[in-house]
Amino acid sequence: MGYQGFYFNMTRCIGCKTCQIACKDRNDQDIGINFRLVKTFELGLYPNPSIYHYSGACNHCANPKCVEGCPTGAMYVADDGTVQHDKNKCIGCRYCIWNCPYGAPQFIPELGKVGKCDSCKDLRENGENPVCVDACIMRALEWGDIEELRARHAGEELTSELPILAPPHITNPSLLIKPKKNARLKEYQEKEM
Amino acid sequence: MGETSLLVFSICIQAAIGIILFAFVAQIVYKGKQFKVAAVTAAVLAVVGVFASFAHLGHPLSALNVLGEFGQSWLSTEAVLAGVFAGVAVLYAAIHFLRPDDHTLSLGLSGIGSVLGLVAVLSMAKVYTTTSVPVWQGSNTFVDFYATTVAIGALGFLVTSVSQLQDVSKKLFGYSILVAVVIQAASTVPHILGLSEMGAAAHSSIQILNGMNTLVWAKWLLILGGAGIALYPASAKVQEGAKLNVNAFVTAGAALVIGQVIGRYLFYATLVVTNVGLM
Amino acid sequence: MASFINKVNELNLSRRSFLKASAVATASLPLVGCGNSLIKSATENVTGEEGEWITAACWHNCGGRCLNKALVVDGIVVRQKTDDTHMDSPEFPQQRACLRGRSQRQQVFGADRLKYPMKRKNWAPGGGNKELRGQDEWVRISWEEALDIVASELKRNIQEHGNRSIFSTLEFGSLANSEIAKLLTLVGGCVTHSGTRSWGTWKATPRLIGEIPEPMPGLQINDRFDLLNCKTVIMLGANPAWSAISGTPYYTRLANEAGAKFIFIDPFYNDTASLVDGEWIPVRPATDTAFLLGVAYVMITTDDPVTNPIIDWEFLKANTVGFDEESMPEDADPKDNFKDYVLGTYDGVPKTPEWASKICGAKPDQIRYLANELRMHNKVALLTAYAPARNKNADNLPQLVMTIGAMGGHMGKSGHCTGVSSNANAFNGGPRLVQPGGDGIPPYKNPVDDSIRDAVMWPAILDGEYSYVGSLDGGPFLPAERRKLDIKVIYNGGVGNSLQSRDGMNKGIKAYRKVDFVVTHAQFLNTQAKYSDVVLPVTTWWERLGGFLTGGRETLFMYSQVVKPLYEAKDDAWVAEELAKLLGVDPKKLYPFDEKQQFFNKIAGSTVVTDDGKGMEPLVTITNEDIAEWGVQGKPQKGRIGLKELQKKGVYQVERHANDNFGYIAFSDPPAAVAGATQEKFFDKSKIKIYSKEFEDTINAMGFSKIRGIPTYIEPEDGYEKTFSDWDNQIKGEFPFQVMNPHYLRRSHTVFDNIRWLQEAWPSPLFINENDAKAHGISTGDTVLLTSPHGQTLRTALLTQRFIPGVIGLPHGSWPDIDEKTGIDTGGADNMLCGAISTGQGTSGWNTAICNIEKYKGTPLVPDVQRPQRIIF
Repeated sequence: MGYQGFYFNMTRCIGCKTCQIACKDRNDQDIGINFRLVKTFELGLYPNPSIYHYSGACNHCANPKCVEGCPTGAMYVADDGTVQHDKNKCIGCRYCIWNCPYGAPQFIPELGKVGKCDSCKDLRENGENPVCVDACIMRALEWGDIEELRARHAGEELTSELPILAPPHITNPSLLIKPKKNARLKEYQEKEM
Repeated sequence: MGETSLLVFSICIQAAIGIILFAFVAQIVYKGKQFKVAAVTAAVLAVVGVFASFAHLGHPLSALNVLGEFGQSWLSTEAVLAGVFAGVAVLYAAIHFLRPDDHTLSLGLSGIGSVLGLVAVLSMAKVYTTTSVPVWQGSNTFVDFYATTVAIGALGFLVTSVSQLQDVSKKLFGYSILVAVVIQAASTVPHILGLSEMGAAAHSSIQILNGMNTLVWAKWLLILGGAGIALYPASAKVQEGAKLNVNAFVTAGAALVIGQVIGRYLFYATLVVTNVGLM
Repeated sequence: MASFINKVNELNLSRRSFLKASAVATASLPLVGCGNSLIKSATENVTGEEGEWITAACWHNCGGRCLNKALVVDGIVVRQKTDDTHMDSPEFPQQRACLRGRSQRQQVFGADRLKYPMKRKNWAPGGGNKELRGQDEWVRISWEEALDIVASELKRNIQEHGNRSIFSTLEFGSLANSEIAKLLTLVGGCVTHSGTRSWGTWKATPRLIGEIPEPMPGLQINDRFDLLNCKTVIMLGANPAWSAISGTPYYTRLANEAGAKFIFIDPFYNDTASLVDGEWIPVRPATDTAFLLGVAYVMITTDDPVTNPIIDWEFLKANTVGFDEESMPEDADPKDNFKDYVLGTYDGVPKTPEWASKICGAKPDQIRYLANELRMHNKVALLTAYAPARNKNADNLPQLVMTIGAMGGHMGKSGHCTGVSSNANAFNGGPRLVQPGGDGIPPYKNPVDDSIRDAVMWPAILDGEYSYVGSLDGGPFLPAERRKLDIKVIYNGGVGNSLQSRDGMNKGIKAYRKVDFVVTHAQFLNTQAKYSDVVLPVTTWWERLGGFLTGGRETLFMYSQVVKPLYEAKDDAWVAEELAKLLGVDPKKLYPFDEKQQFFNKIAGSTVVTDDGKGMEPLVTITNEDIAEWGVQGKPQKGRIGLKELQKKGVYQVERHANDNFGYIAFSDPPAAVAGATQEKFFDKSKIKIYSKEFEDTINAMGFSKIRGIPTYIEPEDGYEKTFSDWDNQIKGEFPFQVMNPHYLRRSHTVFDNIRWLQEAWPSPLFINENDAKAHGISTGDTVLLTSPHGQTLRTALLTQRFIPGVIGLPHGSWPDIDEKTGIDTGGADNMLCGAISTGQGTSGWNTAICNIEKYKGTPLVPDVQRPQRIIF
């Protein structure tokens, strides 16, 4: 079975958070809950500062720790290789939140359960893309079979290993990032612009 | 801190396991003795613990869903073991009333409870060490959980069984407590040193700890002090008719429990998951 | 939907239960703790596409224009989406909406929507307790009572004090938004105002220095395909990633990917600079003129036609006036030429890079570097946004930008251009390729000619007199004429939030508290509504019939009504009509035909560029059936797209590709695609006036401040020099910092500031250079008190290395929330710090402001997302 996931072209991202809001709109999320979240990182000193943005969501990992840890089987790997969450089984123990090294599952107090990026599975089954992908005004996000994405972006520097992220060996994320050069540096600071 | 229910759950369950463990040991060492108060205390603690774990759930009504992944997920395994242990603990307490003379049954139940309990503590530790929370990873969590189990268990057992232990040596309990807390303390040093090399999340945890310096000192003072206080009467020579210093045990127990609770509070307070953080 | 509204209205629900109801009904929940589960179930019921996607207006003044659609199920909007009408490609890109557009569901259905007409408890004819404006209690009233109050106040004041006692805050330049303005013209007129607004000095200067094309239609720069040919793109005070987000950052990035090098001249290392790996030359606000004069000095002194050709002398000679002695007009003093000013021939001050550096902060070498980049044989786009011109005493800046561009010959040819790149035209110049028709309503004329400059309109009301200099919206530019003024009524009759968005808000509040009556149409309790006596709840554009929206040159958006008016909200036009009846004006005079006919006229009159790019032809095919269905007067016509199809798609986008017939080279191509445009090239009939006596005389006669006929550096009011108590010895004064107001993605000006999702995503901090902050004991997260000569405001600090030292960034548009005891604004409103000071053409110079910063000792601020919403009923 192949894996599906996101391609994120960091060199194009302007950190506008349209993907985050589009996701919130589709999932009707309250404040504090974001299945996709954009963060801004700053490096360097005046007059040579630099920045980069990271737009993160569930990476639909090949070895999902959330699935491994889930005591009820609510978190599971679906037939298309994506990591899905069954709300009916979930008991709201939040263990997946401790397990996911990407912060993807979020506790929804009103439901008493968690939720997370489902890669807009229903939309995809209708032939559409996840909403964040089609929302991106910079065309920095893509979705697809991870090997097909890799082939489409052959020649680009692609990685899922960055100082801001957990080492990929933990969960083997289905994530391809085209990083900015400065995103390789360790001395970053997060800035809530 | 949003993990109060887990704090209550883990401390109560571990205390209950410890009490039953020492009841089992005492039943073997001091043949023919029964420890009714200890059994009831363990049962109450176990039940309180289980209910506290429900309170942690966003959707407690579906709690039975955890049965499905027993053996697959450490959390499921822990929950099931804790539940079964609580059942055994209640049964163990009940037989003191229903069949007070059946010593074999009593011994059997405290034995099963002890084994189940010790495995449950293992699974409890595993629940934490397998997460993406660096401060929880590594052997320290195991040491911490077992030390809590042994120390609170032994003292709890002593306090609740004073009347039955008037005439016997309690050195075993005193030294058990001491050994447990000394190992617990010793394991902290490499743990904290190791954390500083575990990345940003671990660093954040260290920073949280640094910000709670007073609590960290209070924790160790109470735990080690409690163990020390307990050691004195526990190792005192058994004298016929001499009055046992119950107050010392109670004081020691209180100090130790408060110390361990603070420790567990810190354990949860330093929760920082390794991630770029969607939260 | 109707049933939902009726239900809500009938039940007259308490606030709390209303919120619950709206949570269920609208699936819109800006409120924490309110039924996410209810939302979930509402959403989950929408499986499949049983709802209808309707093109929803995205009507805000954000700098862009995009396609926005709303999924309506049973009259409730459950989700939004953007352009999927065609496959996306760089040549033919989808018109994707930004985060604000995609939050509009939260806006339209926000719990803080104004639901009923209301009046201030302590208002009485004559004003009542005027000081309570902004802090009084609200009383719900009926529409009948509300209209009665408004009509009688208008009538009484017009009778007693004349039409010159009525002040309309709507600009007459934008009639589309001014239903009330139309009405007021029919009852004798009113005093109005005009300003340089977003444009800064680009508002009037282009007309005075050689009829340079107005920047707004994007006629100063080449189209996006030609910009791909540039080698160096210079961005002066431009951050389209935050201020023109729709297509511009994408086009900008494509130019970068095509190989262009970018240089940013800005106080802020902005997100667009990061996007294109741009080089950053940090420059202080309001010092761009000094910077560019330094550049001009280097260009002049290093130019050698043989060994180092920098200046395109041939271009200068052919197309400009006043560069040097020889090219001065006959009636002018030859000594007044630009070159000699730069070299300091007569004033003894050569405008060297060192001279410029002391003022603007850029290093002399950076100034030399930029001058070399501007050399004639380099393909350069010198692009500026309006921000550097939104400064006090910056009237000459547009002239200087054009001068620098002309010196390098960067005009009128492929790969070269100079001018404003802003709004939806940013990085894509050229005339509109598709445009809507008119509504067919004859223009209105205001019988009162009084027009106050925005920057001084509050002092005008307070002082009872002002300088009349004509209107910036269409002119004329007149010498100052002092006029007495006694404003009794302020009417905010449509979109806008001018109390907050015009210079010197503190004085504005005083002005509001002086007059007898203030009435405001509003969707939320924004600033001007808050300080009013009567507030009329009006519909958002989602609740209105429909219409057209324009943005970039390639697109025309046709939006439709999404939902019925919410609560008791009414259209502005309805209010105008009802008031007309009460004021004895025949509504037919206001609107000779109905809204539907107006809309239909716009449709029928829409045009699109012909295939050869030389003219325009009808856009929409209209059949007899369409006309019957709409129930309007009209004739069938043949066009490019059927009416139904256009309505369903919601957009018509001209398909572009490289080397098509629709390219545009500014100052070269005649704007053929504009119907009726002249076929002459720009320079066949005009020259750029590097020296203009007319410019000098016109501005100076207005009396706000003096300029010269050539671009010179003028020390601005509230500028960098004013941060010193002793400039010569460089000793800082009472207000040692400069403040600039970046456009910020939470808001479109002041709109959207109240939207929870956006508050969460964009916290709107105060940007401070890390070293400056540390020197003042300020850390990230601290509440900072900003004190300017004009007011005080609070904001939470964010330390960064991205700002030039000595300059802080206070994001534009945050809603004020003034503590009446201390007078300190706790909301971080930028216009608390800006003074009601006008210079030159009557400029609103928001980016010229100075202040002091200190760690606030009072109660720290909570994040905006935790502030209570302004829910009245």
